[in-house]
Amino acid sequence: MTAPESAPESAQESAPESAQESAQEPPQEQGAAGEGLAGEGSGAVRVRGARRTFTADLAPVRALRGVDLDVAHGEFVALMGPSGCGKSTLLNVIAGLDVVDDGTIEVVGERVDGRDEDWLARFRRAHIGIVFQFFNLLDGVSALDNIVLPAMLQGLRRRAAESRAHDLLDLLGLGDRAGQVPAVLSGGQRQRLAIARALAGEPALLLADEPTGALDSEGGLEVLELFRRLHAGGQTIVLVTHSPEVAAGAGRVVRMRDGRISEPAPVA
Amino acid sequence: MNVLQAWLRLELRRRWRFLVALALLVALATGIVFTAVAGARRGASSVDRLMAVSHPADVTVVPNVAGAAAVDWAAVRALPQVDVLALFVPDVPILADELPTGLADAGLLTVPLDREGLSTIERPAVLAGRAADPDRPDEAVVTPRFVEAFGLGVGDMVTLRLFSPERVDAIKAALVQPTGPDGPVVPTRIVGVVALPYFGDDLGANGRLLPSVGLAARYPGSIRGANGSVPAAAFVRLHGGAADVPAFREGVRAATGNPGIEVSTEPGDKAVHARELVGFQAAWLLAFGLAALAAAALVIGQSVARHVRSESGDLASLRAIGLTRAELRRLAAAGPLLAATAGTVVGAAISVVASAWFPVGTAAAFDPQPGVSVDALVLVVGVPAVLGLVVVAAAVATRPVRSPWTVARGSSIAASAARVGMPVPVVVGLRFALEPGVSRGGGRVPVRPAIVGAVAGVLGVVASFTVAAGVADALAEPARFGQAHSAAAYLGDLGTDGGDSAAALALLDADPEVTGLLDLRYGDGSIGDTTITVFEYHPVGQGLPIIMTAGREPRDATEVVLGPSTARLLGVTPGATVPITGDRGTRDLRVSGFGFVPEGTETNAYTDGVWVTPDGYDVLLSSFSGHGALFALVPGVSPEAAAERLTAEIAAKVPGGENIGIFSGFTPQRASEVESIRAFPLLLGAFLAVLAAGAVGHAVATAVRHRRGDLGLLRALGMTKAQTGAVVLVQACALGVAGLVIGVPLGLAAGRIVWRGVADLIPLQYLPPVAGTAVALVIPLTLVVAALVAVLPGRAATRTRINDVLRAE
Repeated sequence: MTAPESAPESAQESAPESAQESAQEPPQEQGAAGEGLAGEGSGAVRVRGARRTFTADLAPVRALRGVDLDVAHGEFVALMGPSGCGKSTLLNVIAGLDVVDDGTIEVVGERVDGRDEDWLARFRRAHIGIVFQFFNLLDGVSALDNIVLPAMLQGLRRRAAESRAHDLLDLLGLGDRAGQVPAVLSGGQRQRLAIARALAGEPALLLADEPTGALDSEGGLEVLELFRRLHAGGQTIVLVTHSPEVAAGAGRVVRMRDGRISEPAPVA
Repeated sequence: MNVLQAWLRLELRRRWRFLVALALLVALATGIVFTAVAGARRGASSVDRLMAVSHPADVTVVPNVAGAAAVDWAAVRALPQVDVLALFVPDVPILADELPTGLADAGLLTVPLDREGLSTIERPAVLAGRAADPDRPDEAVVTPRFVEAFGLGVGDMVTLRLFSPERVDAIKAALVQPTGPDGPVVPTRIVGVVALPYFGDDLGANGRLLPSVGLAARYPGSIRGANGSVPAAAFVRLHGGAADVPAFREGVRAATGNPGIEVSTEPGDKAVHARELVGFQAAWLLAFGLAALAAAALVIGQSVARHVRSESGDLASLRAIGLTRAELRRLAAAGPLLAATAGTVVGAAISVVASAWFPVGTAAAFDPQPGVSVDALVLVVGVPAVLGLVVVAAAVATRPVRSPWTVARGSSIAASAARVGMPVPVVVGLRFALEPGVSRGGGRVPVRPAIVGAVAGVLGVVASFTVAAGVADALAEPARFGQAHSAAAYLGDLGTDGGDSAAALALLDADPEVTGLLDLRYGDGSIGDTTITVFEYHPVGQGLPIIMTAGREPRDATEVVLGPSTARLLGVTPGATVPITGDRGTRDLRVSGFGFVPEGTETNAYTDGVWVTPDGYDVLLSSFSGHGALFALVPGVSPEAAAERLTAEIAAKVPGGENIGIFSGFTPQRASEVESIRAFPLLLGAFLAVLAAGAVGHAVATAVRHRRGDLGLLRALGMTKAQTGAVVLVQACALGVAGLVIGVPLGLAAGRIVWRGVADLIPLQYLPPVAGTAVALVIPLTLVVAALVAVLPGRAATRTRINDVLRAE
């Protein structure tokens, strides 16, 4: 287990949500999606010796057994492997949704392992966008507000957040669905909405966990095409998938088995 | 072993903790609800049950006018309407060594004069020991409050000290407190504790000691004076009850040759009032029980539903292998039903044990069978109802859950908060508070029950404090009981003044501490068949007002003011004309208004009687049964000190002044009834407040559980722990604010409606009570309580592992 590091140093902060957040405010992303925060030569993701064991059904599961992974800025990486191989766990420790037992995780130049939950929360809102397999949208809240609320969490005022949300909805072809709740959208539309939400903070890194897993083939293709467009625009993407078709759209495929990278993962 | 038994065994093995908890919950809930409802029913019926045992009197006959001492009671007893007649001597001067001075009616006891009394009429319900032997002058019974006040009960001795016949005459003539008994000393054994409708415990009093009939038989002179001159009063039960009263009244006047003899329906009126009072208090207790029932139904129902849903996986598996839906429902209900049955049995036992402390309030003085009691109706209805609730909750929970993507209606308030750019925790907290949402498991957050609970809590607290403000105002202001005076002078009775009343009135009028004075003669009159007390409204100097409930005071001999109860009895309105009859004839007087009459001057209540001007009085009556003065004092002056000083001054300066008594420390008789009502709304308010806290806490905790997916998602998107805690805090406070916004005005209105009911019941002068301090406090307190109930759910929300939640979702 690595020792916790101090608060991130580089900082171009947006307005904090509250005063207490200003003390350890992680660095904020500026500019277009995909631009790296750290200087030249620093990758978007750097994982070294990551180990993670948890207990499931009374038995220990060694989800990560010493994983090393580098993802460069602007790269589109697909993590593939059989169920239980640790690819979602790897995604979660990169996102700071889970913690490693050993090893180091560096995202856009910042060590995220050993950080407390609030630091990680602020780091995510500033640098990471996450897309889940089952969308995880806020029920009963309009498509617009599903984007606006996370944007406001980043400190944007309502008007600015709405403006960005409208832009994203237009970009993702949901401009005419802004006032509708997720329940009335198709699966593909919901996932596009989830992607729009993930992009609301103009993240340096977009993480997607089986984003097409809950969609039919048409919806899956919609989403895959969207990821391609984002990648073409410079967005760094790490995507977990079972599907070779989806993985084929990525710039690089990293295969995992039994908690390890089974094929070398050269930096693109 | 069939499937049901096998399932039940499995349930008991793996879910025994929940089932025990459910059994305890049901036991507590049923115990409270059964106790409250049974207590309310028992209290409400207490007066009637005592009446059924004691054969109460319908009327009293009181020869309280001059020359009426020697009534031919045999002639009255022979009247055709009379079923039973018993004679009592009220206010007999007897002291007891064991009782502090001033207690036991200031040394004045009521003594039965013949064997009918406390036997075939006003028969006591014996609560402990036995009735007194009518042949034994040295036996007595006491009431429960006597036991509480003096610690003397069955088997204890009381040394009664009687006065000589001559002293009895002197005491009665001088209207003075008896001291220095010089008659027989009678060591008396208390042989029983009894409840009685008329001679029973009055609220705020110290109970009664009722000597055996044998005392009057053995010492008649010490009871009735040297020549039997102390008048007895008759308690009469009529064959036809209240319907026979008019004929009986005429018969009494004819038989005694005394048109002024008073036939009072006070025993019946007292019973009616007692029924109203215990009914009012029982209604509060019933409301308490129903509130507890609603809360219990919600909590038990949700517990059972949660339990059944947690078993849904296993039940679905059984369904897949061939279980019918009916069988599924039976299995789902089996465990909870078993636990509920055990809990209900324990709850019923709790209610039976708790019945030993019921009835409470005024009803406690009337219950002929205090102690443990089983209310079969409550158990017969309640037990199946509780078990039915559990079965229904289980059955409902086995229904297929609605689609997880059902569209829930959004809250316009939360939407508005979002539109104006409120911080995210505020927007999300408002959504959690005001939108039921749908968890992916199909459950909904109990938003409406939480809002209703919060409103009920605030309403209950505000209403109870509003009533309490009314009680405090009434107890501090005798004017609310229609009494504008703070002290009184008794100048004479039975047509004769004890001294120079004009000089005494002049002295009082000139006294700098006296701010208002009323010369008051009163005597018996009637309106139709109803006997009334006629009061002379004769202001002296600045005078004293009549506390009016409608209209104005009488201005000349053609006008009359009716007491509120008298007006209600006659069914008239101001401006009507009523025929008032006195010994000088009948006059039609115009009703100028309704107002309270002086309390304690006659056997009348302060709502029965009429006011007329001095000229009007002289037109109706040739004499008076009582003559006194009512006066108010400068604020801050001690009535006791003023009474002592004025008594001395009148004795020194007024001819015959030593026979004029000044009395202070006036406490309205029914103040204790108002006092007795105070606890009920406060208890209910406190209970509703606890329920409200529980409802809000339950809603908040449920929201955190049901919406852990949303919370986990927001934390994944960057919400900090502090912001997550703020979401829960805002949710709880939003429910509190909803409770305040709706509950405060409703509580104020409800409190005033209740207080209006109390004012009509007692009765009282109604002034809208204002509980300003309580309302000012309830706002911050509600928010503090809301914040407190949010602490644990908030902590749970911040400790939720995001990854686990999102994976589960």
